Amino acid sequence: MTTDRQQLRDYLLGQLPEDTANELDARLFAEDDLLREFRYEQDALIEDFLSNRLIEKEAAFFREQIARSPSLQGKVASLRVLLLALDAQSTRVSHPDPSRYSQYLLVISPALAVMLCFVIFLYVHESHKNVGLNSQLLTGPHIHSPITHPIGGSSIAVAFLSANVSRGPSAPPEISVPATASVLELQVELHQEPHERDTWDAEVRRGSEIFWKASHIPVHRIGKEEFLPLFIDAVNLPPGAYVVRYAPTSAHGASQSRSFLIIKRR
Amino acid sequence: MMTKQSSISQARTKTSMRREITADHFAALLSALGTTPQDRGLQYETLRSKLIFFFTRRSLPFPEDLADEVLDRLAHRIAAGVEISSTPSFALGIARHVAQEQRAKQHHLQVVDEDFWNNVPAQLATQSEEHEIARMERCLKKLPRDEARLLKGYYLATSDNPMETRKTLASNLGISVNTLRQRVFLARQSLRACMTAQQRKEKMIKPPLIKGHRVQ
Repeated sequence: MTTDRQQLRDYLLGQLPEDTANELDARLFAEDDLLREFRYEQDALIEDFLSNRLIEKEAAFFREQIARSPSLQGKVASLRVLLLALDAQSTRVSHPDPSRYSQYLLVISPALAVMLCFVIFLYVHESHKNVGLNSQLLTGPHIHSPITHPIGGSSIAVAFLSANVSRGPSAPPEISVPATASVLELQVELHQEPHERDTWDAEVRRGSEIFWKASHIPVHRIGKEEFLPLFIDAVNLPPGAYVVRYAPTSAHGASQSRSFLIIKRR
Repeated sequence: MMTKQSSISQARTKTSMRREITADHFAALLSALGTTPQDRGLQYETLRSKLIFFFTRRSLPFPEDLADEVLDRLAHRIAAGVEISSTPSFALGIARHVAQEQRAKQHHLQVVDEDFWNNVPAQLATQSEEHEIARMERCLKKLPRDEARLLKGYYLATSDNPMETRKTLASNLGISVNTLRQRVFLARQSLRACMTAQQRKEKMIKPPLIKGHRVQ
């Protein structure tokens, strides 16, 4: 047997004739499904009450019921809070508070501008380095033409030793250093493996002679690639064959080496 | 403002032959309601809800207390060995009796919490409600996304014709209106559980009061 919603609502609002209401009482105590229907209808009634959708007579009766029942008061308060919370969420999503929004903008705008400048600077800087690396790779494995940057009266020459360029034992890469360069910045690319050590020790040998040596050199990272920057005195750097050896500072890691040729350019 | 404590004492003055339920009586009542502990608990709550509906529709004050009075009397009868074929039907008989008693006394006692609903239909939240709303919003965020959407679709889209809107919503979801209501009911149960848990959590983290001053 089904009970229409209007009948349930009339029961809840005390508007059913007494005999019909008594029949529903009996069914309510006999059927658990009807209790569920009553619960749904009571929720709908509370919602209509909160939304002012009840006619005055119904609203007055329901108000009286609410006032007499603490549990009904709890149900009304609970749905009211839910409706207000949903409404608040919805308002916030569809109409963001413009004053608050502009306040945020006002605060973060200078920071964004500074960040943007910094990002542009980094981009230009790294692009410049990559151009240098690419040009060296494109000019072939034998001749490396370092990029030179004037510093004061002298200049710094930058050269890259890539880890991914295959070289035969008889064909070490050549690095052409301008005669005017005072410092050779040799960026030695580390192999693509996780380097737990952040600082490395390195030495540059010319034959058996240690020409240059440094320890605790921090790794320079560009994206996923890691380089070891070696700043070598270019004024007293004679042309010839060199070997650079490098290992993590802790000395637990295996040392790596790379050969190269220095050519002085007028 | 009426409090739960005052409502209980007032209900006690209203109901005749009030009996204090003993553990044995309560155990006898539960045994009559089900076979397993879970079933007994569920049936007890179901019967109590039915009794509350029964007294609410009669506009009797404190329907919860009257429901408890019926359950107390029922437990007493069962413990006394009265043979009962259907416990819910027997409870209904007691409830009718209690309702008659109340009707007879109603003109003597009219206790209504007039203050409660003064603020209820207000469109704006009161100050005390704002904390509750914030808590509710936190709970809404914790709900599964489809349940939160369901609640928004169900409650926010209802303007002039909520029935039609909900029929459309149910149709879009490929379910019946009854199933839709059931899902909303279940989602609200989850919210209630979350609200209770949040309240407990907030109570736990509040620093203790010492001589009336909260320790900072």
